[in-house]
This record gives sequence, C-alpha cells and structure tokens, in this order.
Amino acid sequence: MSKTGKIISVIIFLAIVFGLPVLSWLQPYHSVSLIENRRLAAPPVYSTDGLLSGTYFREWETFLSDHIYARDTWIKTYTYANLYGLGKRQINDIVIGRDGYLLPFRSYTAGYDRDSYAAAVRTMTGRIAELAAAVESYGGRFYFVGVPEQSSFHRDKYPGYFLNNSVRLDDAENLFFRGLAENGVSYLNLQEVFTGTGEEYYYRTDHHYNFAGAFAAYRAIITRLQADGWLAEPPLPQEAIRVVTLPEVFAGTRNRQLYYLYPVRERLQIGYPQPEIAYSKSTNWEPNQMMYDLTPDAAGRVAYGVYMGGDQAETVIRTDRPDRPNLLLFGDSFTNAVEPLLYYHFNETRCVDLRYYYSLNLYDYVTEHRPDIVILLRDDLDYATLEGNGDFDGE
Amino acid sequence: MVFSSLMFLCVFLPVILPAYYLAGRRGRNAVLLLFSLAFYGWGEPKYLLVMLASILLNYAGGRGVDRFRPEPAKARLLLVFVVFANLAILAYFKYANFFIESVNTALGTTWPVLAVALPIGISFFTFQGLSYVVDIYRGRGKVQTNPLNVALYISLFPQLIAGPIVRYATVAEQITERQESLDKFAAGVERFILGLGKKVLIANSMGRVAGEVFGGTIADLATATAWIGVLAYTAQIYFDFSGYSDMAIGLGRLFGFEFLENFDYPYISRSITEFWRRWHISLGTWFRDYVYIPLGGNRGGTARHLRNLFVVWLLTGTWHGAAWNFVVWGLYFGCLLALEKYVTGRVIERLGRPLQHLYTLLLVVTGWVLFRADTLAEAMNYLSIMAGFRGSGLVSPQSIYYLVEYRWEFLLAAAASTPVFRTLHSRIENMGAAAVRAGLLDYGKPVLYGGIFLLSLMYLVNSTFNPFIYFRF
Repeated sequence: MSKTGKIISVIIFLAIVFGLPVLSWLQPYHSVSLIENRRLAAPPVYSTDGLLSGTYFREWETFLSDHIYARDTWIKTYTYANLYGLGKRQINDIVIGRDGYLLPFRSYTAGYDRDSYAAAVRTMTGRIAELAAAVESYGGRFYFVGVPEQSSFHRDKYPGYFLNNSVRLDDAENLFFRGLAENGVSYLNLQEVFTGTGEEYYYRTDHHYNFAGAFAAYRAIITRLQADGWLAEPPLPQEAIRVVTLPEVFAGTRNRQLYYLYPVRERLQIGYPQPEIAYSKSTNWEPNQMMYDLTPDAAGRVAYGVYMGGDQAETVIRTDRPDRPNLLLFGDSFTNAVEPLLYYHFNETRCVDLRYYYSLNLYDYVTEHRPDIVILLRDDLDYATLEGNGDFDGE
Repeated sequence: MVFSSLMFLCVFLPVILPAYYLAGRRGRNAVLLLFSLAFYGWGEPKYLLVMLASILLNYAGGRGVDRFRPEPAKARLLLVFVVFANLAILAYFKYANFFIESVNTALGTTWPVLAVALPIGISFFTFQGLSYVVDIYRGRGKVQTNPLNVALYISLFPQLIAGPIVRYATVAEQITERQESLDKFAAGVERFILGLGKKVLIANSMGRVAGEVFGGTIADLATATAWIGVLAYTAQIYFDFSGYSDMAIGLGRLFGFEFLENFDYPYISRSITEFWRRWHISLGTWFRDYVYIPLGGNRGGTARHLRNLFVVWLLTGTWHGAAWNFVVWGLYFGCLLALEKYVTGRVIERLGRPLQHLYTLLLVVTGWVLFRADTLAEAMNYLSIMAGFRGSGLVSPQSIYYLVEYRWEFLLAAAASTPVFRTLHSRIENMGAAAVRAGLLDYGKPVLYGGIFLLSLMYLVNSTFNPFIYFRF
C-alpha cells in the first residue's frame, strides 16, 4: 500500500473514531425509544459504592449504548442486512414464519420447568376460584375467557427447526382449564371457538388477534352469557357491524422489532355496532367518547393501540339502560379489541387493566361496584402469570 | 473495559489518541500509563491495587537483582523471592479456592472458601512481571530505574487483559526509544479493525451457538448438535483470542510499539506439535524460555525430557483456569506431544496432508471439549455424545437450526481460519497491472477496512437492542 492508501486508511479510521462520539454528543437527547418501547438509560448518578464496585462505569456503558448517534439507524441497517442480505429467518428475536407470519423466537436453552408451571397454574386457578366465589357471594357471576396468543394459535407456522413452545402451550390449555373445572369456575376456551373455522383470526405481524378474532371472541362471550341467562339477546351478526378498514399501514408489534422492514399487506379493521346507541365513556377518569384512537404515528402507521387507545388503567362506558347487567372486564391488551363490541349489551361496562390500575385492588373494586358479570380475559402465554392481571389483592 | 465495546471505541480511543500525540515525546509514556491504569480500573477499580502491588514488587525486584548482579547468590535468592511472591499473588487470587475445594472433596473436610474474586488479567500481568525480573536477572534488558516505565510495561493497556504476553526483552528498548510513524499507525489501524471484525462478526456469533449447546442439558443433545457446538466453540475461542491479540498488536502500533505475533493460523496445523507453535505463541514461548529450558528442556535423557514436558503442560493447563478440566486439558496435550515425539511422529509425517489436518483437528477439537465443559464428567459425557454412544439421536431440529441460521458465520469462520485472505492479498500485491493493483490496495483496501469497522459497530450497537412488547410510558 502506498502512502496515499495509508493516509486514506487513517483518515477513515479517525473519522469514525472521532465522528461518532461527537455526533452522539451533538444529537438531541431522547429519553424513550419508540421502536424498542422502553425508556433509554439515563445518565448515571455517581456514588462511591458504585465507583468501587464498577457499577458506575457499567452504567455509563449502558448509557452510551442507548444514546449512540443514529442508534435506530444502526439497528435498522443490521435488521435489513440480516433480513434481505443474509436471508436469515431469525432476527432480533423474531422468526420469519411460513405464510408471512412473524413469531417470537424461542431459545433451545430457555428450558421449561413443567413442575414449576403446574404449581403456578394451581396457584392461579386457586386465586380465580376465590375471586369467583367473592363475586358470586353477592349474586354476580365470574367467567374466565382464555384466548390463544398469535404464536400459540399459529405454532404450525414455525419452520421445522425452530421451537414453537408446544409443550408449554399444551400444558397451559390442559392444566389451566382442568384446574378451573376442578374449582367450579366458569370458563370459555377460545382455542375451541377459533379452531377449524378456516378464518384468519390473527395478525401476521402482531401478537394479537385481529378484528375478526375479536369479533369471534365477542360472539362467543355473548352467546355464553345468553345461554346462562344473563342476557336476553344474542350477539350481533356480522351484518350489524359497520366494519371500517383503515387505509394506513399496520404497525404490528412483531414487525416493530424488525423496524417495520417486513412487508405488510394486512390492514387494521375496526367495527361499530349498529344501530348506534347513546353512551358516555371515560378513560382514566377523563371523558373520552372515542372507542378507537385513529391517530397514526409519525410515520403514518396505525397499531393495535387503535383499540380503546391502547392499554388503559380504567375505562367506564355507560349506556344508561338499568335493565341490563353491569360488566367488569379486566385483563391484558386482548381485552381492548372486544371492549368496543361488548359494551353494546350492558348497562355499564368497566374495563380495568391491573398492570396500570393502582387505586384499588380488584377485591375492593368489585366490592365497590358490584358488577353483575366479571370477566377475566387473558392470552395463553399468561394464563399462570401471577403478577399484573393475575394479582387480585395486591396493593 | 474491552476493546470491542462502544465505550472503548467512542470514548477511550478518541481521548487517548490526541492526548498521547499532543503530550510530546517526554509526556507520552505518562499519558499511556495514566490511561492504562484508567483502562484497568474502569472495570474493577479496587483491583487496581493488586496490579499496583505487582508493579511495585517487580520494580523493586528488578532494581534488586540488578544491584546484586556482582553477588550472584544474593541476586538468585532475591529472584527466587520475587518469583515466589508473584506466584503467591496469583495463587491466592486464582487458585486458593480451587485448592480448598479440591481438598474438601478429596478428604471430606469443610474448609470455608475465601471471598476473593479474580482480578481481570492477573495471569497475564503476573507473567509479564515475572518476565521483567527474570530478563533483568539474565541480562536480557536494561533495568528500568524509573518505576513509571516498569508500570507502563506491566500495565500497558493494549496487552494488559488478554495478552499477548509481552516479554520484557522484546520491548525494553521500545519503552523509551520507540518511534511512531504513519506506516506503523496505518498498519495498526488495519490490524485493529481486523481483530475487531474477528471478535464481533465471527467470535460473538459462534459464542452464541457454543453457549447454547454447552449451556443446555448435555444429555438431550443429538450427535450433530454436539459436533456443531464444539466446532462453534473451536471457532469462538480462536477468533475471540486471536481477534483480541490482533487488536492488541494493532493498538500497540498506534503508539509505536511492535508486539510479537500470537497466532499463526493454528487450525491449518498438521500435527499437535505444529499446532502449539501456532497457537498462543506468547504463552508457549514464555513457558519454553522460563520453565522448560531452565529445567533442561529435551536434554538429559528421555525420562528427564518427559518430566520437563509434563511440568510445562501441567502448568499450561493450570494457567488457563482453576479447575480440574483445565489440568486434564494441559496434560492431554502433554501426552499427545510426548506421543508425537517418541511414538507417532514418524507415522504422522507419512500420512497425506488431508489426514494430517484431520488428525490434528480431531485432537484439537477434543481438547476444546475438555476446555469448555464445566466439569470432567460433563466433558466425558459430551465426548460420548459426539461419538454417537449417547444423546438423543444423530440429528435434531436444534442441529438444523444452527446449521441454517448460522451458515454464513460458519462459512466465514472456516474461510478465515485459513490464510486464504492473506494469499489473496499477496496475489493482489504481486499483480502485474499496476493501476489495478494500486486501485485495490490504495482505495479498495481502506474502504474495505472502513466497511469492516462500520459493520462491527453495527453489530455492537445491535447487541444492545432490547425491545419490550408490553410497556406504556
């Protein structure tokens, strides 16, 4: 290599070594990563203990990693290179499954402790049984509604050499519903409702069910409540829902981990029961009439958060029809897509997400409001999760 | 701090480079020393004291043996004391609990283990300190009257944590008389980037595969998976270690130092003897010059030669880690080397090259199982599965997963284990078409290395990608 080549080498090296930190320092500070859905590390706080243990320095490393110049661009380029350059099927813990399904990666080393899971199931079903008894003590009724998560229902979409979590998911279904039955708890297993119909109930690029899945869940719930004598009318037919397909690109949760680089053909749908009825709605104690938050993100995309504006601590929908029962629906994000349909049949519908609601524990909440029907709706990855919506008497 | 981190690349390096070159000739060593101590203290500030104690011990030892040179008996006694003190420090921090646990296991005692952590790089800087004092004793280097120069030699950050073990005799003059130049700096840049690429683009991926295979339930592995795991580890350990050595050599050149090579394509070796001339050369030559030859080497008959050989390999294995599988690993290679010397050497020489390569690789890979497994029992179990005697079948979905998803990394590792890229470079350098040659070397090569640097940075940033599904803020 001549002197010219050496100078070019040195210049390129120094440009990167000096340019990157300078640009990192100059760029605006971001406290949150919308792509990663988390808070980025804050500048470390000095302490003598931290200094001596090395923790202080490690926190600086984390801070630098989180705030490196063009971090999103680096990761996006990495994702693009792996997706389209190297043809990988596992990128950023997402598996590119068959038929365009994006699924979570399950490591071969993750391991599954069946005994621990069974113990957690026993604890959870026990808690649910106690809650059901508390609801029934004042004349109400409790139902557990279990819905398969996207990767559970479509576990056959994993390429053959990836783990699809089958053993644990089968245990979730078998052990959990057996436990509920043994405890005399009423339940609805949507796996049985969804299987065999041939319908597309799930997004390919998101972990939730789509509007068709939410509608099927709604119909199954109302059918069951009608059969049990709580409701007089059956669920609305398809024709009674004004379905709107949003034109914006759908930003699925799985695709977000791929920086939305995976091509998306699916669109998000919302539905308005017909004929419309009058209602008043509040979200987190503030009046808010909208069932759907149609505001796209900065890139013009819409996500599952359209349904009820995403996860909320508490939503209350009143239709002022005292002849109808009151419903309390609580659970994770899968409740969001059925809430705009379920409310149609009730006088008052309360929707709570215990991961964000801190005012009262669930027992106190039920005691205060005495809903006629209490439904816990969870996906099968979290049937036995004892925190969040599995913690009914936490502070 | 490690070289393959954003903190080193984006903070440490851009600060030390201008500080070093702006300090002038008189201040450069002080800058290097200060930054080297900061580099070491970054990860473990409290263990800085251990290294400073080692520096002080070896500085005083060097001055002492030099002062007592006219009185050989005193010089020798002092040397023995300093060597013993160095080894005592190493023994305490690295081997005390191994010793206690071994005694407890063997004799059923319940001696309590000590609450000591292993200071990073202690094996390396202890051997460097020993090298300093021994080389002064042997007259192979001028004693440093300035303690800061001894401190610099021992703590010099490019080779502090993972080598290469820089012998004092090879850098004595460079501590005060080295010359920086554009040639060295450019060569250093290339070497550093090459090492970074080896570590980030190959070693880290292979490490993931090896970590998953060895970290799972060994008994559940299929034979193919076991082979994939150990081949991944074979690649990981080479590219990690040689990559780090490349970065160390490259960084040394940025500051005018020339360190000796530490690896020379060991996986193309055709015998175990050759392998150990190509693998971790600085350690092998250290043991040769400071243990094997003083014991007599291969002189004094077969029995004495074998004794010396096994002492060296016992120490080599032990140096690598405080566990019995490392001891067995060292003795395993001692046996193989003895066999090649006295029994199988001539047979191997008559084999064709492919068989020689296969013979060597099989034995090296087997050695890596001993090295990587947590216990001897686990190593034996793993080897049984590789041989097809145990495990869950020949091939499993897990085997296919690694072969498919990591195919590019395995291919790159296989190619980069051979001198194919070096050969390609030589061919370009010897091309007849001057314009094409100049274009490729003067423009293509810098762009290529710049690309490897950026690619490595991209992989480093992505390794911190940590998304959450459920979060509201």
